[in-house]
Amino acid sequence: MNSKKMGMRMKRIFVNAEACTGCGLCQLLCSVHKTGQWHPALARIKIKEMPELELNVPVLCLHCSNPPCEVYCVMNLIYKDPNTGYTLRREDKCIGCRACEIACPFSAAVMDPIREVVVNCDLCEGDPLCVSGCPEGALLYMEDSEAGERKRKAAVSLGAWRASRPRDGRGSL
Amino acid sequence: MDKLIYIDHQKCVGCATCEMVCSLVHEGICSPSLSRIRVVRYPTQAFNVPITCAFCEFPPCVSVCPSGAISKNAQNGEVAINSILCIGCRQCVQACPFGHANFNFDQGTAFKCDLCGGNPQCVEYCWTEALQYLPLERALGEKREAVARNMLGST
Amino acid sequence: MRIVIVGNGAAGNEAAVNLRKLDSHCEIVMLARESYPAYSACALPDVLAGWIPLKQTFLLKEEDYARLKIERSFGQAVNKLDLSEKCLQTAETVYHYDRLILATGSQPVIPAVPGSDLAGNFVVKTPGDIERILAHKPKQVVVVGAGNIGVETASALRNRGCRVSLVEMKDRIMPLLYDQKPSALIQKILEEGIEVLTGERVSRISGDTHIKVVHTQGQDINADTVIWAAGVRQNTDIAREAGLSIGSLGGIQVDTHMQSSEAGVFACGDCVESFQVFTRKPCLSLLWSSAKRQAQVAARNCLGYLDEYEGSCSLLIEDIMGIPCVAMGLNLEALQGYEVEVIEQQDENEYFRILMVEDRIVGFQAIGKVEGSGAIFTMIKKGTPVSESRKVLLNRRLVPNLAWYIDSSQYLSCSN
Repeated sequence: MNSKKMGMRMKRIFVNAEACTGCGLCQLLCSVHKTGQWHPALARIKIKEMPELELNVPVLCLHCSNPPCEVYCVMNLIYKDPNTGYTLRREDKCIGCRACEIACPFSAAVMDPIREVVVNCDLCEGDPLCVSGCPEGALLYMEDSEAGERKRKAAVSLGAWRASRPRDGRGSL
Repeated sequence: MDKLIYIDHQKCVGCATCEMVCSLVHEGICSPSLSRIRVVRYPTQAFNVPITCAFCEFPPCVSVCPSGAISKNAQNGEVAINSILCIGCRQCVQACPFGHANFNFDQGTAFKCDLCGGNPQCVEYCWTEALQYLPLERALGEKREAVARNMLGST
Repeated sequence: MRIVIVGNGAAGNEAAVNLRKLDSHCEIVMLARESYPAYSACALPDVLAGWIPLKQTFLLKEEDYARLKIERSFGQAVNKLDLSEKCLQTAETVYHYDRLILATGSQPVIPAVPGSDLAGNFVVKTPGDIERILAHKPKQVVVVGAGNIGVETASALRNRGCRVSLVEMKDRIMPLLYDQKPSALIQKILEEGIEVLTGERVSRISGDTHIKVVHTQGQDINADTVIWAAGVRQNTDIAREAGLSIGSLGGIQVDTHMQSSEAGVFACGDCVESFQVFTRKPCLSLLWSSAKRQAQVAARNCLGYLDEYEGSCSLLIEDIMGIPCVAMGLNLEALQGYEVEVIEQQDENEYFRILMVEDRIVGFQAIGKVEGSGAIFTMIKKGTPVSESRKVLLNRRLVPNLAWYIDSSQYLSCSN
């Protein structure tokens, strides 16, 4: 028997950190859309800076199939939506204990300092504003299979095979 | 890792036999989306590249997995996913430089090539010999030979 | 298939919900001594503090049980488990089962101290306890036991305006979670509003019908209420009498599939003896999260799906007088016999300490800051070598997919 974990075909946000300039527009869009206020601290997407590596990495909820946050929530308010596969929460019940924040490996559950509840990305019900608003295309909203296909294509085009391919001999990736 | 799946993409006709066989063997149905090995097709340029796990020495998928579900066996070099521990965050999908780590929607877990326990069925059923399961030294030997032949031919 | 669950705590309810998620047809019966629907025991101190109403601690409503088709028989204790007949007996009925999940939990211990039967002695375990405490209208409270429940209860009652004394037998507060130094720091924070007495034991409680004075070896404390948070005992009576094997620590012995010594009988939650993720030694994990994860494993295996318990790793986060404090993994005391490397750092607002054994993080304690501890928790559970983590953080190609590492760099970058 398998270890069924309630998977779901869904689109999710993929991050291309190389393209992220760290402008923070996604954070502002998220915060104003979700709370009506313009403040990065209220956003569910966070840009983590790695100055030594000259990288900015947007971090947001990955909507795991078997989310650790769900297990650690003491109010049982985190659930997988059976129709969309999103990891959602009944925010009105949150007591702000922050256990989910620590249980999440990605620190993608974030404390809303005004309402004192922990929130996570809900993919804007399927039309994420951060993705459409990103001026650099650092955020991509697609299905896993599409992301995998892109990855494979990139690997093929990166492959040294073009340069090293013998004209009529055998080559390999 | 003394043996590897040696891919000669020039022999690949993109027939998808390997994808069908792989998903049939592992998942019980013929569905390329559930296959470990995937063929990238460039129909207009007339070439196809099958991609499977490279069994990297320092696999990114192992580093990024937050639940410790992916591990590299120090003895035989195999990289395996323990679906029991997998939380389905898909970081491995994103981290694999080859786009090999795949995700099973229904199970909610990631999956990858396990070499069919030492007898890869994709190789077994590949009728163009685009896939071969060879010791590293032989694969390299073939490659050297091809280059040599090419050089001789070009003189 | 008829699956019977005994107990309606975190584990019992999580098991029931998981069973229903995986199988819409099986018959699920829940038996419990308590008559409350599912509630969050962790939220009870918040009720005491007055932050949330008691009804918010209830997690499932009557109609949720109906929707999930869970047959309930709450409010009657199970007296006997018969493994050969596969049945459970309550005072009135006999329940037959095909598979059984024991989630009998634990109950707080009130030591046999003279006066511990007077009116005004309470524990914090069920919503009923909270109702009784609130009805008692406490003014001067002695909380016995400075574990996490004791500390949370003490600061909650302080928030309600009570004068609170916290009495701990050991030399420091939260001795099972924090080491000497962080424990002392937390004590300092607590002492802003609470009288903390360490190394003291309650010897006697005096009063006529109600509590008047609590006597420790050294002090007499005027009080009208005593709250006992001095430990819990596993409810393993029915398991023991039925002949299931009981571990060395007093919990029901289970394998990694949460199956007990009898096939088809699973156990999860406070009543079982699990193992620590790093030492692999048996441990009693009395945490909400362990109970839920164990219940998931039990439910999945009960229906024949594969799942394995990966081991307990404690994670506690508390808000102490508005300052978040985090303790995870093991502390020095639990690591006796290992060569432990300690990294610690302190400034005016923050403190943290990392405990490492053989290049692995095994414990983490932080005061004042929560950010980044998620990554540390992941590393503890995964067993990532610290040297490798540091290398990975410098790898430009890996970092974009390691967003979870980045927050931890503040901790990993310091060495001593």
